[in-house]
Amino acid sequence: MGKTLVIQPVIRIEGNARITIQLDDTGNVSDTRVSIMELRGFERFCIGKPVEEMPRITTRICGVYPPSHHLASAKATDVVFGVDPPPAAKKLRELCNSIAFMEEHILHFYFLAGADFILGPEADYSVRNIIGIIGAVPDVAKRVVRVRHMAAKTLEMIAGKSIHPSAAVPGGFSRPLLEEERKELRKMADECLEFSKFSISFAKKDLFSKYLEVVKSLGVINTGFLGTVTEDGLLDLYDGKLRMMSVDGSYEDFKCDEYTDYIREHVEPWTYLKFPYAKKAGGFSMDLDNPNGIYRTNTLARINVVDKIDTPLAQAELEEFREKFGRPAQQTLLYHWARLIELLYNAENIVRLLDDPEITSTDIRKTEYYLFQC
Amino acid sequence: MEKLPVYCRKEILIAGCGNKLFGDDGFRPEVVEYLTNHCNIPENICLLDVDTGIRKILFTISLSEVRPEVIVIIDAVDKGRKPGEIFDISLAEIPKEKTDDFLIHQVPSSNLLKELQDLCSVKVRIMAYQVKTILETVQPGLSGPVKKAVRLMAKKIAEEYF
Repeated sequence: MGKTLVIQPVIRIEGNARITIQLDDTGNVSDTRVSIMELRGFERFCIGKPVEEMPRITTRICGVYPPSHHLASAKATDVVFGVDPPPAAKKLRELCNSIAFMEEHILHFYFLAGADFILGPEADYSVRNIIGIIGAVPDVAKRVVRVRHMAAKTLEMIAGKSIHPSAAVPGGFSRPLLEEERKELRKMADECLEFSKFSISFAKKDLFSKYLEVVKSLGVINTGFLGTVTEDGLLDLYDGKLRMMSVDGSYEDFKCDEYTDYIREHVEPWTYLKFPYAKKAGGFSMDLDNPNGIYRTNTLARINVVDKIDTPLAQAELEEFREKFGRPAQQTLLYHWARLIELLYNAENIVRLLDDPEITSTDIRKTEYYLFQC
Repeated sequence: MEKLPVYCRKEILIAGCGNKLFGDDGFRPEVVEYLTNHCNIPENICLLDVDTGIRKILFTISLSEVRPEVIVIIDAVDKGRKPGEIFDISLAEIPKEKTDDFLIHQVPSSNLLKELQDLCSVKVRIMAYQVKTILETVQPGLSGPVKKAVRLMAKKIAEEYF
């Protein structure tokens, strides 16, 4: 057996991973493994705990993306208690979700991916970092800090705490949004939207255009995709049904409670990450030339599976994206481009939700069933 | 609204990051709470209970044009010492101790702290304490020795920084 190369830590991701590259006797790559080092263990941690505590517990088990775990847990408790939250509560939750997505997408694009695009893949590794970004585009760096600060403040105002939101509760939301708060948030939302518009325009003009050939050729793998869509096939990051798209672009929709009818899990001993795969494929294979059952999720997947986006600027970007790369797009580096389309969608969605008169309604929680159970 | 978050603007950032739900890991938020309730926090200090989410704060600090000169992290370690014992560890010791354990995503990303120290001239200090046990189930509440150490750590911080 030849040499083993280990890359750790992997710093372009949120979390921790180890890449192990196994070389054969002739020095060629015989196998590569990406081991995810983080054990989430939600299922174990939650055993025996009161179900209504889940929205508080799960945010503290994962420090990487607490708002999503918070909202997912709250939605699960709705189902357990058989309550359908009032429309205003759903809108407040969706508002939190869009703010959190916006904050994370900015983080991912500028902090994690930014150095490679802004400094360029040929730049020396020693300068391809955050300090390099500040040196190359100081004004952009300042705006990134300000907009992320605004997003955190906004989330704190609506959900109690930006790091570990606590406002989503079984049956709805714990506090209404006051009109004074809405007005304050609305001003910030405009600035966030402007920054989102700038980000995609900057990326297309100054970054992606330079590396288009690399984007088209690096890490291309043909897989299926999974994402959430509304009943009408529109992009939906808070709710909706699941859409499983095959490599050829055909797709099947199913409800989240039918998950186990469509998805199975494969486990490997060298990583905490599980490998969910499409049941319909009949098996699971990571053979690069002939992958089986594998589907991808996250930004590119969602952008691939949606029919349309119901905010005008993001929809225009989606159309341009599809014209350039088709549907489904398989180029892995397009995750960054798709991320910026979603950034724009979320910024538009925040403005739309804050302009909705119902967002300040005080009818934000259904408690009847919950109280009856107690 | 200020253009920069308060944790970027203050000279010293003292961050209590830990998980209140996992026994002795909840020490750090309790130290922050103790200091907040018992001391006058000087103007140049930002005392923050960041729970399990310091990563986001470190990202913002690293990209900000204005940063704290010193970041103090209060961290849980298991070095086989006496439970509740307080001692400093170097930044280089964090990955060795925690690279593969399940708490890693909840503690400061050591590579980010290293970048801040090496590339941004931010002095990073890790004030560690010895845990009694690392719990693997949700069980809030500190062990006796670690609970006693809350006041000692708060006193040490106040004496050195306030």
